[in-house]
Amino acid sequence: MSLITRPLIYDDLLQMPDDGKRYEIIGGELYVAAAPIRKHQRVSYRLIQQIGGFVDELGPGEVYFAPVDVRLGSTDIVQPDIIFIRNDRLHLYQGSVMDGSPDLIVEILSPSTRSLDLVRKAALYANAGVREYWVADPDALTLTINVLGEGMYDPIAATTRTAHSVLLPGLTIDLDTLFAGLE
Amino acid sequence: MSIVIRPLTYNDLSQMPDDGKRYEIIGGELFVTPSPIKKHQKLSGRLYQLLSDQAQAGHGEAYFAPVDVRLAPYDIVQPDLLFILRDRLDIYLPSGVVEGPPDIVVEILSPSTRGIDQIRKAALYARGGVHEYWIADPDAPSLTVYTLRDGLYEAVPAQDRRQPSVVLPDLTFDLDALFAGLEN
Repeated sequence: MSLITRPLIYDDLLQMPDDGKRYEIIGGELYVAAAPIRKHQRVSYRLIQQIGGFVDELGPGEVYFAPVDVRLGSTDIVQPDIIFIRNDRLHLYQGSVMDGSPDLIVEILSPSTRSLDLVRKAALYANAGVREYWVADPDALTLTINVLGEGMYDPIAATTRTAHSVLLPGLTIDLDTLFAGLE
Repeated sequence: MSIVIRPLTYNDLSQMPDDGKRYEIIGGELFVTPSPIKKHQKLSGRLYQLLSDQAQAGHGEAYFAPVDVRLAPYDIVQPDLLFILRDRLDIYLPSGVVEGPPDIVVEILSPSTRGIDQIRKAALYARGGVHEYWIADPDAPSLTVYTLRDGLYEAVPAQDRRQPSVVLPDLTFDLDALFAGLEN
């Protein structure tokens, strides 16, 4: 068996087992995450309801939740927790892969992915032109909305306990409701 | 005091010590590499000579480390060698940063950087649009020239131990001569 000394690509993902784990390639390197814990899934569910509800009512695009393979580049294929794609870009999502950047991505932190989501993925999503990147932290009970500036994210932390989207004006998340009863 | 975890940028590099180590930011993460060993430096010198000859012939400019190359806000690297074609020399700013992809980037593997250079940096340079990426291995010894095609690197094979370049069509060099006596 030879050692892999080249960046991994989408084709390599197809070789991965179908075992419920999340397999991602970032900068040519493989990242595997175990299925998330209940607290993570609860926050995910609530955010999908809120974002999905808002989007479905106003109709600017569509919301999807994991697992969607998002190919941001030849050596960058991720499975974000939640994505939003504007109507005029929906054609990029064909079959089982989104070939391009979603307009909005949500990642919910878990202890094992914290650093990855806050650093590596933030850099990746910014570079790929994802206009808004939400990071929800079910342990710190925070939701940071990162808005893309000139190739970099400007984090907008929630004021008091409400977070506002810039990409989707009017989409407001109440943090106390979002994180209620998680323990 | 709360610690903010965020991707690092060029500004963060200015906080790093001036200690001869190589400090790079890839995907917002810091990578620190110790100063290279003699064999690495010897090979670097020889490769620089090859590129410098092409510069003399008027094709562009060759530079050796340390030159900060900013491929993106969260990707700032210091390749071992780089070449910029004549009509793109203005990407090397007076401030000392190369803003954007050089036409050729050369990395010389060392035990500590082997994996990173072959995987992470290859992905980075491909995504950043570096047309040609040379990976030199002083231990094998070997040198592979990769050319960018459809977002991925493809090896440019040598013929009879003579290695061509795609970016510099006038350049073909002898691999055996390149590595001769490197151990001494």
